[in-house]
Amino acid sequence: MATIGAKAVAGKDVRRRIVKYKMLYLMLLPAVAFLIIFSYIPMYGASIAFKEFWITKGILGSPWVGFKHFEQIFATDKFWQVFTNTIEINLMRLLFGFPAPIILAILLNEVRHRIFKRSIQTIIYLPHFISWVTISGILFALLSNEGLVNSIIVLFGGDPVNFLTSNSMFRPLLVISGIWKEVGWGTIIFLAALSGVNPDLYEASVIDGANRWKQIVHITLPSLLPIISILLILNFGSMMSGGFDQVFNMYNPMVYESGDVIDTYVYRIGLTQGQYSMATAIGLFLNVINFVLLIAVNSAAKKMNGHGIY
Amino acid sequence: MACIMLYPFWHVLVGSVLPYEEAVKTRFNIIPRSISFEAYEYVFSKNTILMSVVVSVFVTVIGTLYQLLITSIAAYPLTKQDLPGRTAIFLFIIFTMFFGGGLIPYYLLIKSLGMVNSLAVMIIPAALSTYNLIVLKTFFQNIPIDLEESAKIDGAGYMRVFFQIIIPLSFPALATIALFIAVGQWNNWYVPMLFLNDKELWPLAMVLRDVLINNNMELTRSGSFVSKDFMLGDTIKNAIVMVSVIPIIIVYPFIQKHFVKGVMIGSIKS
Repeated sequence: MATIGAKAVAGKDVRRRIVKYKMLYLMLLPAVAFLIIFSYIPMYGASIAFKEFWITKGILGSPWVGFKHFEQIFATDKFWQVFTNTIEINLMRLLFGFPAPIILAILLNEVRHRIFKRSIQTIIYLPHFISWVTISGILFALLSNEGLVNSIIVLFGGDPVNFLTSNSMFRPLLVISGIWKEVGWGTIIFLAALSGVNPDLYEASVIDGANRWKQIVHITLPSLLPIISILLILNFGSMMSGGFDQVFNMYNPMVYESGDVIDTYVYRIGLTQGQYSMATAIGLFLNVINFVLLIAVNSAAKKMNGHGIY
Repeated sequence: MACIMLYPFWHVLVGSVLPYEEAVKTRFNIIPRSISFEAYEYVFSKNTILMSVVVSVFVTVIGTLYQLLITSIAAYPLTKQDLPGRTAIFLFIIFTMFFGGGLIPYYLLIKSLGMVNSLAVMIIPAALSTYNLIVLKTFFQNIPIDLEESAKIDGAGYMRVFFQIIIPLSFPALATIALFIAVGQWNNWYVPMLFLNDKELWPLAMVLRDVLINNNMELTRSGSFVSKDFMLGDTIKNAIVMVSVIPIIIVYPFIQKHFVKGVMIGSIKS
């Protein structure tokens, strides 16, 4: 009886609080409404992956076909090519792109001259704010056959290289330009972590006779570990997304073989060829893998060192 | 390091002010020997480009105010620890960060809402960024609660507290978020590419994409320039790039000192 009474009181309390906070709910309303319309309705719309979608019939009216589209996709060579491309490109990005901001942040942290450090930071953050359209445009100007780099190669007696249309060049180009654009931005978070390190640690280590290198290995790197593991998890959680912006603005039919990723493939077969159900099925497959990866890696990381994202 | 970061921009800047004769003669121009603003005059004489700049400015200003309002007004209630259902609402919002319906269902939705070929598509659906919401929520949480409570004793409701206390105190955070949103809107080519077939509605980013990536030469080789060579097309391209980059470079230093803090707040919590 007592517990029921307590529950009733608690229920009344909740009701009173809801009334008291009605203005706050009203303030949340626009955001929630927009998420329902523009995020959750498309999630429901993803059901066309299991339907034979006809525009005239709409999502509700189209007949269910089960896993037909998925079977079709998995039987396509092109899909597996795009799938492996995405994984390979992301692994390359992880291998070269992930450590880059960490290294740069450690180097910047060693710079003692404040104004110099500040101005470098200002400059290296800038490319993050420029869109891939613009950056691809600049890259084309630098790397096209008559561009700057090839002019220099020719000047020194070499043969011009087809940077933009060669399958062997395209991936390194993606990775390098990606690093160029985002490395500075990536340092922010590591520098923030480093500014929180207790200076006493460094002083103590100097007394113990540690040089700069030993300080980096024993103090700087360990203090970055939690943030590194969190970012690694997030990176794994987007293993299946290919960085649509970058690839879409840099690629051309000549490099589809090495550069076409799932995101760009979905765009092409979905919106330019109108295969709505097929494209949705691929998109859904990719989203599910990303989501599962994120959860798996997160729980693994939590077990190993106690740092997860939730 | 800084040189590697800056050179590509410098290359384009120099490329945009080189007079035609100079540009033909040499390809390595670290310091231009003579400067001409011919390409800029041409760019600004084109109605297509002027209109696209107007569209971009409109979409950026309205879109930023709108998104900032909806994001901040939603972030505030989430700071109230004893708001019933707070965690559930927060999870409901966060989930959209990690899972989505995909491109095609989104495309069909926008189409069925009749937003194709209307500038509304660049503004209305971009109401909320989950990441910005987290940053603002964290910032609001750190505002001393005493201020709010004394205002409440004076009879102010949540709405008034929000607009008269929280907003003025959060100026640095709001400015940072506003920069992120504004840059996103200014650079947005993806939404217009998907939904604006009507070239008259194109923002500058989309015109830029048409000229740079699709190599549409309508703009770079017409009118009085038609007699001149392909090189001039490059000069004009460079000038259009600069027109799109310069506003960002101008706004950037004012907000730069704030955003580092903003990013830190966001990253610690997420």
